[in-house]
Amino acid sequence: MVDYQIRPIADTGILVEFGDVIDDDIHQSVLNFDDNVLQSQMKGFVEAIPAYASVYIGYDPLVTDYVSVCEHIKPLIGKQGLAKDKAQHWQIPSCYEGQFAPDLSEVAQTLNMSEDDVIKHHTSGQYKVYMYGFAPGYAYLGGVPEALQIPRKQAPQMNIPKGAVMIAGPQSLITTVVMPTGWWVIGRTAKTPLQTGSEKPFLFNIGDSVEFFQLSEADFLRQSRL
Amino acid sequence: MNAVFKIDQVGPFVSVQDKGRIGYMRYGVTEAGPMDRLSHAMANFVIGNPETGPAIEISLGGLTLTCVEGEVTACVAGGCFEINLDGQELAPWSMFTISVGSKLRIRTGVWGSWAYLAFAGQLNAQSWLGSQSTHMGSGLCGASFTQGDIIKIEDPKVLENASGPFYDPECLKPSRDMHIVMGPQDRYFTDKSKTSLLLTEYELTSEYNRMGVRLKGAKLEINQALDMPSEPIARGSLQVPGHGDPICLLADHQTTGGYPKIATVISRDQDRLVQLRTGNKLRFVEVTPMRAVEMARQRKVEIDVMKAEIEANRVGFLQKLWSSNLISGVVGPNQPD
Repeated sequence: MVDYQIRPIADTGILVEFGDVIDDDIHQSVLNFDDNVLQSQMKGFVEAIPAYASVYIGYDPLVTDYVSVCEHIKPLIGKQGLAKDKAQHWQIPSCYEGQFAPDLSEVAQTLNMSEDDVIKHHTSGQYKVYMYGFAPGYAYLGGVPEALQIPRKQAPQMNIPKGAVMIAGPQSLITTVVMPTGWWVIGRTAKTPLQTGSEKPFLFNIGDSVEFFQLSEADFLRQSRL
Repeated sequence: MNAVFKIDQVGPFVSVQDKGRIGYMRYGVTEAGPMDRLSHAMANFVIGNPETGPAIEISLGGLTLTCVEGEVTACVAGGCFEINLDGQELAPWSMFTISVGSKLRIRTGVWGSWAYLAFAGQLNAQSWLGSQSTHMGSGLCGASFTQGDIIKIEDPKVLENASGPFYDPECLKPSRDMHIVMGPQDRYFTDKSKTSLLLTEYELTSEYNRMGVRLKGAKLEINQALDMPSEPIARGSLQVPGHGDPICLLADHQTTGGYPKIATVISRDQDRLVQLRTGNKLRFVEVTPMRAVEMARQRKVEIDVMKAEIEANRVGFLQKLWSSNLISGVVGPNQPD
């Protein structure tokens, strides 16, 4: 049995909540439900937005209504989904050197470890794409090893470039546009989750797994020029 | 040949908006689109464009353009704005043809915060993920207009006999009542806060842009310490951060967030709420989700009636022209006694 609650959102949506904490089992329920909804050919379906512990389903009120949508989705809750089988694995090259890792030394000092340890911990993490939010392609990756978990900075810093590899608490992420952020920038990658101009502009699907591997500054610069 | 305009003056947040970038919120992409979707659709409708197509959204800061090339029929819909074409004042929802050398000035009027300028032709603008709506701040698709920018209309059309007011927006002037469905997190608020939300007035503050508007009134308090994981956000959500003032999230809202939402404004009233201004007061009225759906369907009927009236007014332009020709034909100077 999967615990859930359905909450109405005005005349155009529902929020299906599977819990109120960040938890891998809850997120698996989210992924299975999302996958089943997408396959279900719901009348009046507009979109589904999965997050850590909930899924929003938008509907067209001229075609369907709140009660019909609730009836449609109830049998899909707790139903096995193919989300796990569909998950892809991504290897992300990251340069943890020099100008590309402006916060590396402060993170190392704060956590009482060497800079190499920070890199080792970050590249040893097995990350999962929990959700997108904040900006296009901004994928929240859960799975930062406990030793590397550090609260976000006191104040956000302006103009963090795209491709910045950052950490805060149990999460890591790769910036996709220039933005202010309070996360710690420990590396840089050219393989960001937002590939504008590509046929599939968003690299990750929610539920995919991600690993980082270290790229030298020279290799990063060479690859970035390509 | 194209019709080309140069921007002489422009306020903040003036941008190209089509229906919006729908279906990409799961990838963190805000929907964008017009603040007042009804007026945007009607501006495109009267001019013969697809209702979902691009138009220029004008804020309280206004817009002044000079036509530097070509000729095109255009129209304005939205709040009650002042339209001035070469020194002549036009009614707020008007159609007109602009040709080279003409100056069009659109200014805030008696009421309303947003207006839409649509052109009979293809508004040239960048497209991303199937939409021409400006994605503010990211640089991924367009940007707000600035002085000196050029607006280009490809394949411009001059619609014969199409000038004059096509609708009286007085009946669209927003009243005080805005309907909401409680939730998704009303359970986290004190009973007193839920009652205050429904029984007391709220006022729009000056913290108002395309992302949302902060309201001022009785403070809303949560009944427990909260650490919600981020969840999806819908347009119209009344999100309540630590300061206790509800923020109504609008067209450019972020796709996810961790603040509790006490209620959501129904889609019809989102179009009305955005036309209020700083200092205007509103009152929230609770409806059930099923009643909210009924109201959306009722709204569809109202829009159909409105379109029929706009059509009739367009035909009226032709008839007026025809009758004035007839009259001048009858009593013209060349007629014998």
